[in-house]
Amino acid sequence: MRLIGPRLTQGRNVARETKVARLGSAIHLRGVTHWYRSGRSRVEALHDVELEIPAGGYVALTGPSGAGKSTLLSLIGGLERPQSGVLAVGQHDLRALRADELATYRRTNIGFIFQHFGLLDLLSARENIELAAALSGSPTRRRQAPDLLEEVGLLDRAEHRPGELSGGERQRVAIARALVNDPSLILADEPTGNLDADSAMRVLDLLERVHLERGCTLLVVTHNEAVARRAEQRFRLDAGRLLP
Amino acid sequence: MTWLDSLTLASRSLWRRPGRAVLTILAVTLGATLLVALASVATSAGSRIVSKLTNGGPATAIKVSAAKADSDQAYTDDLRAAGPKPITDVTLNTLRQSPHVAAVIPVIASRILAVPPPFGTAASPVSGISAYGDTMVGVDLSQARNLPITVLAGRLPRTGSLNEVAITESYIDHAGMSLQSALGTQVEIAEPQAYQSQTGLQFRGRWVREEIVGVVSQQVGTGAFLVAIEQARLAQAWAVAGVDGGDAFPLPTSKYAGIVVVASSLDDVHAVRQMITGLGYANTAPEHLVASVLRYLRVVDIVLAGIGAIALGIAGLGVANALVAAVRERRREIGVLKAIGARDRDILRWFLLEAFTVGLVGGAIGTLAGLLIALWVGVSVNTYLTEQGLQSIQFGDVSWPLIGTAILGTCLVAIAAGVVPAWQAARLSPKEAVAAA
Repeated sequence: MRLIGPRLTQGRNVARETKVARLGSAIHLRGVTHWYRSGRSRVEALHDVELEIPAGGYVALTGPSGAGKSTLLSLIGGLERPQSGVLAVGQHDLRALRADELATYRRTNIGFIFQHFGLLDLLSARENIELAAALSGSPTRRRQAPDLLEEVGLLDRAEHRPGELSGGERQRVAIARALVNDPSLILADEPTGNLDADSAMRVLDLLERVHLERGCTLLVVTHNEAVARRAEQRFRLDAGRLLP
Repeated sequence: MTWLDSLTLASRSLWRRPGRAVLTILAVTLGATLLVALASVATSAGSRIVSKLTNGGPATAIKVSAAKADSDQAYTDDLRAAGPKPITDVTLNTLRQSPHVAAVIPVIASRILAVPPPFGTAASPVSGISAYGDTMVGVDLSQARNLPITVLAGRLPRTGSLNEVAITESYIDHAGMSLQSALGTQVEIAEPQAYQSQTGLQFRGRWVREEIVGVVSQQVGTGAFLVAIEQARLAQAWAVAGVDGGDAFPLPTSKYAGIVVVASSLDDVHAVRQMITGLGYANTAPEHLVASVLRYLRVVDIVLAGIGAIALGIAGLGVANALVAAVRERRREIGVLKAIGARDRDILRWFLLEAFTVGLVGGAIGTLAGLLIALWVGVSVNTYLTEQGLQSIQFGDVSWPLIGTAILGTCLVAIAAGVVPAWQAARLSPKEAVAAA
């Protein structure tokens, strides 16, 4: 796999490189500009963003509301294509991918975690995880749902629907779902935004453990400075511009 | 995502809003009910009407007489005879080898003397009941379904039977019996033979006592006694062994009194009648009448199908409306599914299967309800007809093609109604997953 951007060289990361099977995807943005239409006007969500996130890195992205954090997350996650600039994740040039290739990219490379959890209310915790595995078409991964629930400490709640779980439990199910297809990059959009302090810490601990054990790149978008401080690298966006 | 995953997702999504699901299914059910009930009643009524027009025989039956065809014969359903013309075995063979002919059934008629019970020792008035002259009509009863015969009570004589007879209501009037009381009684029949004696023309009879096994309405020939052709053949052989009996018992001029020719299809009736007329025989068939009635029935079918289609169309709009609302409600869910890798076709399949489930459940319930309504209509109509002293009509036959078509059609309508909302759902951007609520 060709990695874009420098590998982490700090002692802690070098040590991890030797433990995990592989490192996550590096993220490389050069001059990325993105806008959207609001009525007749054009709103620039990102302006000439330059960003390098190393493979296996743990990065926090902060900034006020409307700064462009979620847009950047959407672009890196392949939810939409940037209108200009270069955006590469691992060996994928996201601007060049077609819609179905982007779906494959999301399915095989990305694990999404949302502030609103994004679980389907009509499925149980186990079925939510199995559905994500089913999208990849892998029966083996489907069978991993109980293991993943055990990994996030919710095996006994496997048959509960999201409405029957607490916020922290839902987010842990969402993390298990994000992991089922063994992603190289986990994108967490305000993962603790709807949680109380205790649950938030447990979710962050879990995310960091997953990051360490699996070696995947972790990008957390947050308002919360305390959460951001736990990351190896922090970036701040304001009015669509990445601050130095 | 497998089909089973999609179906699970679709069925659970449907029941997330039970009120809306029930109302949508109810709309489809009502549409299917109306369509099936109308189709079932129309089909039954149509087939019974045609059956009535043809006196119980097939609509493709043509009656051929032992008579010359008039020049107008080709243009009318009625018999246009212009003098006798014997029907022979050669005629039968010619017809059997003609194209578009499904069956050729000869008819033999013999003049007889009938004596209802109680029986005396001679063909003379007994207990006030007179012996009377009539005609015995013999036909191959194994082909009864191709003949204009309706059994009103009892059954037809067995094929080849020499001692069973079915009578018409004319005999019941003569004998002063009721329809049911005539069954199982006997009638004495004298098959006459004329001979010349020293004192002039004399008659002698070949007497047989027959059991009345059924009461029928028949248009095969003119006569109150329907028997197996073997019996009529014996009577004819006995009669022709004598001499001409004059007006009372004339010798037959034709071996067969008539023929029933069955065309292969309604479309072939005209061609077969033309061929028969071309052979010179007078014939009759409700060709123009049936065609005219069928045209009217077709119009009725179109009107009823239109009403049913409108009902199904409204049901389809209900399905579309429910799915549009569902898409609006599930924007974020759809976005999340796409964010975790669902393709457009996965989302499309989810919503189309939801529409299909509504169509299947509504169609199945509606079809069952429609058949029950058709049955109920049949019972109500028959009760009325019976009260009015009319013959009942059988409704509500279970037609498997109708059931299959109705359920399949409803599913297709539901799927068609779901295409646009499903397509809209499939085209939603995965960005909906991170959009503000």
